[in-house]
Amino acid sequence: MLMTTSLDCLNLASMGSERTDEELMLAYAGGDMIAFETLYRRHRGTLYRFLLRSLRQRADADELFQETWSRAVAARERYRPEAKFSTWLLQIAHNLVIDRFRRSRPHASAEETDLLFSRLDAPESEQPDRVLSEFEQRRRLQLALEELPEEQRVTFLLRMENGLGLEELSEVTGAGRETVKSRLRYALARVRARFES
Amino acid sequence: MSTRRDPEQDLQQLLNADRGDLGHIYDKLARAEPPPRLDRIVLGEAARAIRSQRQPRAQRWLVGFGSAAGIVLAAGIAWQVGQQMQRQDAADTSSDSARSVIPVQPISAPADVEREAVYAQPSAESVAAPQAAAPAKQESAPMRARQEKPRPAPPPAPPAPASPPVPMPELAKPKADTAQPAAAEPFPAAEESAASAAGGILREQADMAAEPAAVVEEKRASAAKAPAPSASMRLHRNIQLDPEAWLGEIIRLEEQGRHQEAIENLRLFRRKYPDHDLPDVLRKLDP
Repeated sequence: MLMTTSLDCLNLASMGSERTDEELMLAYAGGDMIAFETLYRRHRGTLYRFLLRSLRQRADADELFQETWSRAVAARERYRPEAKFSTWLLQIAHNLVIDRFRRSRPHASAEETDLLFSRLDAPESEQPDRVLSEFEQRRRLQLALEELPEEQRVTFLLRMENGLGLEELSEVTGAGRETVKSRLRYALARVRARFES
Repeated sequence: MSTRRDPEQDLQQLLNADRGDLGHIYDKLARAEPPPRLDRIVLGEAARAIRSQRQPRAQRWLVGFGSAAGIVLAAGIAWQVGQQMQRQDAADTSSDSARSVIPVQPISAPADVEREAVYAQPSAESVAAPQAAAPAKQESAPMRARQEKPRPAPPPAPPAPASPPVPMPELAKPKADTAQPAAAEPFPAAEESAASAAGGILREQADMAAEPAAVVEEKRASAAKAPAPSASMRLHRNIQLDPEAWLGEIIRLEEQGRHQEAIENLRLFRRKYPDHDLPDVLRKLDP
């Protein structure tokens, strides 16, 4: 019943689907609740998955999901259409995730990363050459994501889940372009290592 | 033989639109969705934010509208009061000017001069009156304007000569040898010409009664220097005479060539004493 109500709400929100995210956000800031429902329908899934895979705990993801939207609602009058809405929303979510990481866990050491790259350079004879099943591929990717250092994981997820390019990644994370590329390289190496272990 | 993955090439594949082979695997991961509970919470909070945003705006609009309405109302009241004050000032000015245009005729007869001297003598009531009437001078302009309107006919005076009518304490004081209290007679409504002529006198008397004693003295001194009282003042004074004396005064005016004044006196006399016989010399003047 509750699900039905929520979906009805989202179906109603689809009426404004032809408008861009930025137009919808401006309309919501002007008092258009339907515009917000449309916007929410567009971004709820990707945002939730980004948070869930970044934080790995559903309770944490739920909490930060709610907090992200709450901050977007509170900042609606300060929103300017010059900023892409998805980037702006992910910026809020990313900052919350980083704050959560800083309070809970230390960063991965540089030695670990070096070890991963050395394993990537291993000869083919030492690599597993068996074809992994699709299920095994998904499981290994999932494990690899969970094992990634936080900043690398977040950057990698922003690319995989939200499709952000280098410029947008740099804008959302607040890191330089080269730093973003470096994080992606390290993340790729770790994921490959998990696949080939 | 070893397969070395080039990190730059791997990164480039990741940055491609399809995100490479890892992108395909990633898309097959479970696509978790936020629970409906979160949907309700987020949408509810967004709706509340909009409602709370509308409320203060309405209040601000109401405050603004109320302030503007108050200013307009105050300006309207001020304008109305200003207009009213201007009208009152104009009325005061017109009454003053009307008072000042009362024709003044010089008195040539010694009898008149003698009467003026008698008239100029202050009575005990007229000296005492200013103090009693002084607060009336402090009244507002509208009150004064109302007081200066044509007054209704005074009530019939009691037979006792010791109680003169209030509006004209000096002029209404009957003479000791007069049997009838002439001034106590009410003016008929038709006597507008004579009454209006007398009205200016009444107003002057009322104003004099309302002024302080020093001002009255000053006016009295200047009045002594003045050449003569107006014809209307004499006419009003003649009303208080007994019929025979009044007729004698009319004859004297006619003999002095003051024909118009004689006619006015005679007209007023005929209204006051319609049954009284007129001498032959005055019958020809009777309109």
